[in-house]
Amino acid sequence: MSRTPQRAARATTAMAALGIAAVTLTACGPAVGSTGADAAAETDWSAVEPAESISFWTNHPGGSQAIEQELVDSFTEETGIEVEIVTAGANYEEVSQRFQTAQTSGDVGDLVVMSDATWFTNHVNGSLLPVDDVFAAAGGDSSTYNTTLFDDYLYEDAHYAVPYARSTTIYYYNADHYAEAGIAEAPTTWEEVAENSQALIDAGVTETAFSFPPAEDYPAWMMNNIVWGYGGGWSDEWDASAVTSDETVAAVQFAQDAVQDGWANVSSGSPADDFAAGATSQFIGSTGSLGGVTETAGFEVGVAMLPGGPVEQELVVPTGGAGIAISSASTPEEQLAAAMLADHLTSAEHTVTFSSQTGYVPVRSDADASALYAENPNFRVAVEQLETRTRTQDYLRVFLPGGDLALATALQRILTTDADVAESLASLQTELEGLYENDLRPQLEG
Amino acid sequence: MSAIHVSEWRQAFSRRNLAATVAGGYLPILIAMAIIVLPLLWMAVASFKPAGEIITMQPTFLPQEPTLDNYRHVAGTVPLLTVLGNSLIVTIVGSVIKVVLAVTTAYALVFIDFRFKNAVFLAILVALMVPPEAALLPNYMTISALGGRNTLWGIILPGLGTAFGTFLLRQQFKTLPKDLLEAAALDGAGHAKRLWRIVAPVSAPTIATVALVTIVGEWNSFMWPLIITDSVHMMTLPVGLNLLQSIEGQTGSYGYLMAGAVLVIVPVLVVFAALQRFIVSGLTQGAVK
Repeated sequence: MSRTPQRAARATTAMAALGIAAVTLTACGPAVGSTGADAAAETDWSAVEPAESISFWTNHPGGSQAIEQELVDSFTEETGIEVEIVTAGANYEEVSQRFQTAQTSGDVGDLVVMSDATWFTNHVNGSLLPVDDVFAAAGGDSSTYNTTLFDDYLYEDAHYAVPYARSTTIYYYNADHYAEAGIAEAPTTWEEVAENSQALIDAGVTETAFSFPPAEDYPAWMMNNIVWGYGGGWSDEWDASAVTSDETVAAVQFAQDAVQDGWANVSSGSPADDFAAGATSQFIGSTGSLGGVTETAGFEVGVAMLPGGPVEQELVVPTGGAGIAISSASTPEEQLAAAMLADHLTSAEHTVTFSSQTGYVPVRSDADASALYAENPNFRVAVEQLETRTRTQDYLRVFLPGGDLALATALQRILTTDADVAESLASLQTELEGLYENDLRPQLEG
Repeated sequence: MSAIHVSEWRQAFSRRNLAATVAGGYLPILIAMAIIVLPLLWMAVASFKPAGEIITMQPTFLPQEPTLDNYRHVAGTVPLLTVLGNSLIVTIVGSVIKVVLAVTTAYALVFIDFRFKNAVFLAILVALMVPPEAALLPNYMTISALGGRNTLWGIILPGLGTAFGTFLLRQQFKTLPKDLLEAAALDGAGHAKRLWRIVAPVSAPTIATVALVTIVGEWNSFMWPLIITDSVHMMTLPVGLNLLQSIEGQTGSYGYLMAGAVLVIVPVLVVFAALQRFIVSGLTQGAVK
């Protein structure tokens, strides 16, 4: 109820900061997101000088505190712009909440870490500046970003962040178990996953061949892979009916059968931990876990590209992680300086340095990642997969507040019980539609 | 004499007495110890293990290859001395002020007659019942407006009133014999003298209890310092150690978390060991008159 006036107030703050009249129009005007875009379009960036000091709000994703400081120091050295690094939370949600809270007090970071699941809410609230123009004005070339990663922040013809600490999912297998069971190659389709897993069980090398993540460990993210492989999805833009399509039902049914047939289970904690301990032989997890898993595991860790399905073989890899966005409440001078910093942090050279310290993938297509392979040869698979197989995630999982949680809860129920898949997904569709109608659509339509 | 001694010994070590002691005393103690201590012990031991020994199918209690790497990583990620110093300042300053305020308030509530005394006491009781989370946002807005974000006084200030301590001390002071204070008053002792020379020494165990609870509370306090600080140089230890959490998979980082937790707990254990003598006597005070 109080949402509309509040949102209008935020929008007006942004507008006022950009020195634009006709403030009252925003209250009943078009979608708030596009007012932000209009406002930006009217800033003549060529007349703006970058600010002398800005703040960078981050949660140091992947333990990147030291490397962030290093990159920021080199930025200050090059440009003379002072940057205050603010630890704005321990995870992405905390940063996002703090960013939203700060909108009222006006004490907002200029460059802010936004995860794939938090940027859209902030965009809907009008808190993010479209980056395309300001990035070009700052001398950045956004065309060299990996297209999928950059387009994860695309909505209605404008990008609202640039990729920063990005990961994808990847297929992990216990190479020692594979050798013991006489399996020569990692699977390339889900059918082969089932065959390999059965062979592992039959050879007696493991009791659990594959682990699905529990509800707290984002199963909808990992299982994007299997539903895409079957030609389904969690949604088609805002249309939730994809979740009950025959393809999605078949994919989820396959996963449920895997558990019921006994070659897979749902991990009680984290599949990565189970895998590193040797309790399960295969799982699908973030590239960000590669370092930790390799270090912890007492066996040879094998990685492979994600398996395809009967319909789609190639484009089956969901991306994840976070980008950096520019606050719409900052002054144009600060925004320009923030864009310069964003470009610096994610330059072809620096994104590789960042990757080497964190395990995230390089975000520029012209980055030379060969140094990373020397450190961990498995990383090559992650980078090659990124270049050829990734695809932007389904809206209702990443953009809809509560969408991922609804998916995760439903998936956990399906995988751990003998619930009827089609029925469960039908009620999931109703839930997703309800969330969209109640929480998001009124805001999108202003 | 020595015969009596021997028979006493025999009785003490008789089978019946031993069985009763073990079943009624040692067994419950051991079980309670196991429940309370084992997880802490596991944490302490695990902080010296490499990652591969923490996540494994063949866990061993003692580290096979003991290592200090976890502590090194913690020290490398978090400026330990800075956050430790902040924690010490916040805890010491905060606890001292809190305890002094509690002692003086309780004294006033019991020994000084003023109007609305009961209303004040009622307000303290109400404060005791309101969950601290409810005050989080108003506190944030107030302190933020006063310019207290990222300052140590901003961390300390909102928590200074302790309803629990005041309440406990008031109840304790009420049990003191009136004659004691009247005698002092007749001898010409003012309120300050009566409080610090008579009431405080007599109530030392209770004050120590309040002090201990306050110190532990201040030291472990997480939510408020987390909200009011965002620069690592102004964080307290528990908040700083929050930085050890990894966004992308905890698999390699359990050892770091264990090491961090040990660093938070050890100082509290030391304080507890120093004050526990008083606590026990504080809790049994008044049991026997």
